[in-house]
Amino acid sequence: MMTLALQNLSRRLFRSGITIAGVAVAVGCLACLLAFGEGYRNGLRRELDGMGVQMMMVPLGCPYDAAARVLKGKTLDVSLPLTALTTARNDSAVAVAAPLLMATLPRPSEGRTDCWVGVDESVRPLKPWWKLKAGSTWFGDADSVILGSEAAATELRNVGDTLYSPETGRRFKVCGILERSGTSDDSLFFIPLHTAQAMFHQPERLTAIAIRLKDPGLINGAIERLQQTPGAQVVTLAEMLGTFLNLVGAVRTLVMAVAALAVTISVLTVFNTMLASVLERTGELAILRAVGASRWQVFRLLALEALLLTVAGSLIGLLLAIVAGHSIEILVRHLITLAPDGSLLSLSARVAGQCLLVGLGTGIVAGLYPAWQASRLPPARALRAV
Amino acid sequence: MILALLGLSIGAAALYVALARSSEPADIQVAHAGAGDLALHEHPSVGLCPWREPERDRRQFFPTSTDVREDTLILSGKRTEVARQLGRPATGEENALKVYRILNQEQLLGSFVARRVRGESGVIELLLAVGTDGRIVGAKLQRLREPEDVAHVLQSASWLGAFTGKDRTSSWQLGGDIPDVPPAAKTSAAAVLDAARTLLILLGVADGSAAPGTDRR
Repeated sequence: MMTLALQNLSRRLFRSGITIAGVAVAVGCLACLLAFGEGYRNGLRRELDGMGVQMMMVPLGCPYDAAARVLKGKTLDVSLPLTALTTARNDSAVAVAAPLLMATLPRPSEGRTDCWVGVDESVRPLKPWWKLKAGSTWFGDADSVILGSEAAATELRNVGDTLYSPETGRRFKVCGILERSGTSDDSLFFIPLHTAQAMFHQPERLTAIAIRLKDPGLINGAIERLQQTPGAQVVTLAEMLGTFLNLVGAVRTLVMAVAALAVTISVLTVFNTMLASVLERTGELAILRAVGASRWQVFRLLALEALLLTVAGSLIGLLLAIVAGHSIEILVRHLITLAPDGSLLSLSARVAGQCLLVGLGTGIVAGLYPAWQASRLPPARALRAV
Repeated sequence: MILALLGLSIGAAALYVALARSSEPADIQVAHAGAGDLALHEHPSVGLCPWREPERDRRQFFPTSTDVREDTLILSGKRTEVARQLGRPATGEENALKVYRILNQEQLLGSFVARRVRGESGVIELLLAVGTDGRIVGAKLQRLREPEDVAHVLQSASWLGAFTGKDRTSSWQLGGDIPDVPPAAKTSAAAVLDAARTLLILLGVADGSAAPGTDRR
């Protein structure tokens, strides 16, 4: 049956080729759109992850002022109890909750303001931009300090040097210097949380808790639960998150609409080809019936032809997407002003599988009616044709 | 058509390679940097030091001054002379010196120069008031984060006051020409003395004075 189907398709090579090309273009478009959709979503998610913090627990007061001050490495007049950290860490939606204790020591006559930030190890996943210029990756002991690049340059400190805080009488050993990140971290002095709490007489207190969720979609539930923490309030980076989710949603809708259009065109092309084929081969198919072919055999023959067309078209379409995808990505980058870094084209096995499934589905849907029509041809029609 | 596309592709690739190469000179420069420059990279950049309290310092060291003029003196053409007087190769940052000329109407009274140095516990900013004869009129530590006992010694009138009258040919021996300091303050004190001497040499060479007391500007 396969040989017969292939022979039938090759007899009208041009028409078969055009149909395969139509399916290939549709599947190629679909593959590119799905791959771009996935790549764009992954890219944005990666960038959001790169930002580290998704929400922040701060003491009661003006939440946006508090969040802005904390993000800029400035101190707050009020603080959080350490129990708020336990609450945050126990929340099912929270992936990372990092405590921060910040204190600024201004000395205007010397033109300097020391910004000390007490952190613990949990802050590291929230600071993906931290790259060490020199030294060790974390505090060696309680009297270690990691300096932002500008802080190190201002104080002319190298790893292993001493850094003294005249205001608090504490002496630190520089254990690490961060590379320039372009964030407020560049001018900060990072010290162990317990050291900061002792240094600024704030035992068991925190300035803020930086939080990253397991999934940004869990944000509403997390806010609701964490807002109930006594003395604390939650500030989300709502604008950023809202923009992110809107962008992803819009991209998904657009992709699905265009993909649906491409598939519909593809179905109609195959349907048209198969129907024309049945009409052209009415006599031939009737003879097949007259010489003993069952209705089911004729139906299978036509369905197989449709499937062969769409499978061939799907495979070529995938190949097309792989070959042309990079060029299209370059083009798309010019059109999207806020495209995330990294590859926008994520042609994964999942996407390829989806496209092949759509191709098969197209073949089945488009081939059903013509095959059914062919199977209903009466053998007497063959005698009339003869 | 195919040939045209092929030609365009080759052209684009050539352009890309050319652009990529054009961003490389900085790396090449580092690779061929001299020993003096490489030594500089081992320490944090000294950079330019700001003058933090101009009004107050002018009143203190040049009470009759009426005006300030800011000059940036380029020393890159005098590196050999600078190195000879310093007794070591000049660093990249010693190619320029910012000088604040203190004037009374049009008459030059002296200059202020500042320098950041690596103290034992953090940066120290030294400000020197230098007369037209190249001798120190006064010195001040604008900024330091040394422990209190060290800071007290370094900022004392007896220690900083010993700088007054010194010029670039003077001896800067700690414990000799300059009063000794406790062991805890020795590193920072030595850094400050070296900075003072360096500033005087840079200023002298930049101004082209052949010997102390000669102002050839």
